[in-house]
Amino acid sequence: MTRMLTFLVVAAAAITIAACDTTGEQAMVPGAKYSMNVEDGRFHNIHATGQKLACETCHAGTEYQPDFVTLSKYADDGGASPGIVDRAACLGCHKAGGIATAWYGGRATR
Amino acid sequence: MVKFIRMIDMERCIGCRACVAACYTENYHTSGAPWNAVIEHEIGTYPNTGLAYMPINCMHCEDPPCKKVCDDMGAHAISKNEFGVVLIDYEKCDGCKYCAAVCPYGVPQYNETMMELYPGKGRTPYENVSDTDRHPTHRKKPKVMEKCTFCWHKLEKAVADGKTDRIGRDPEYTPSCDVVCPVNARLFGDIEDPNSAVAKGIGAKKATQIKKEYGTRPQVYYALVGGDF
Ligand code: HEC
Ligand code: HEC
Repeated sequence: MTRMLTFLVVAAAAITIAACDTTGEQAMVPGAKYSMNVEDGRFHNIHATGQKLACETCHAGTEYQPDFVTLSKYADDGGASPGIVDRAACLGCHKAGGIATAWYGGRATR
Repeated sequence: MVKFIRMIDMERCIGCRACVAACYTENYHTSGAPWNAVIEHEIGTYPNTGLAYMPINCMHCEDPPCKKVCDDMGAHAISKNEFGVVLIDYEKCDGCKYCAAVCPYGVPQYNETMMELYPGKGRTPYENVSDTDRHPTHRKKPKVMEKCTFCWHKLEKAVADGKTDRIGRDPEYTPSCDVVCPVNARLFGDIEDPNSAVAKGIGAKKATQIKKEYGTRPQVYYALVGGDF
């Protein structure tokens, strides 16, 4: 039963992602439950489970690059996350022409 | 059309954090959710070393990823107004943190709890000011995102008073961080006015936006010191 459910969830995720690839900007559906939680949050589901990205792909290090200027440098997450996320990891997929929604550049704000 | 721009001169900045203190006071700072911070970079190689200071607040991007993601999910809590100011509406925000996830500058801050300014010592009169007496951008509440507003409450007043030409000149109409800088490392004003101090400053110092590879087109310019940003 659990395996069946897992299969369904994965299949649904696959379909969603497949749909996103073609429709691009329609990826997010208003009203869905958005969350950064690792256990059940949509964000980590899409990236870690759906896209099969290893945690370290994004949570690269324990220290910021010298040029990584950000406020969260000082935000203490109490070791809750496996490492700091440099948004350079997002660019490949999320810039104009990438496989996912172009958060970065290229698209006018609506 | 008026478009507000800030220029930060790292050559002049001495890292005193007066801008941070001014921001905290002006904008009803809530602990754990800073709107302004100064980041230190060690530069040079021994024995010729030094520190460079980089004050960071919201870049008020022309193409803000935070707004895109918030709009796409249907929350529409983030707006960019006709003067280029990016604002978060606390009433519409559901605290999902996606704006923080996509911001390359680490700007949006999650306000976990409304901590007392002096923990255990009770609320100060300042904290007891009721929401109705505060500007909407200062009606802080827990479990939502917040960030720098370019002191929108002051700019809004300048617009209402028909005094936009005084922005960047009169303390009343200028963001507090820019007002207090003791070494004139911060300029604020209208980029469309070629005679504004900020427009001239950007030209003279060859100031630039940071992290341009993200295509966000920030409205904050830096005269950089110490390497490749
Ligand atoms: C697509 C890139 C990406 C991948 C892959 C990823 N994360 Fe994250 N994670 C993020 C981002 C972005 C944040 C938000 C960080 C911030 O706000 O500074 C985050 C935040 C977190 C947090 C804090 C959550 C919260 O509620 O704030 C934890 C814990 C975490 N990640 C764990 C993991 C683990 C474990 C994995 C591997 C299974 C993983 N992440 C994979 C990008 C990623
Ligand atoms: C391997 C490619 C890849 C990388 C790397 C990647 N993403 Fe994604 N991301 C996707 C895909 C595919 C989707 C689903 C389709 C869509 O929403 O565009 C997605 C969706 C999202 C969403 C919408 C999530 C939702 O709930 O619908 C956000 C926000 C996001 N990504 C942010 C990031 C951030 C921030 C990073 C870097 C820390 C990142 N992504 C890295 C491929 C990637």
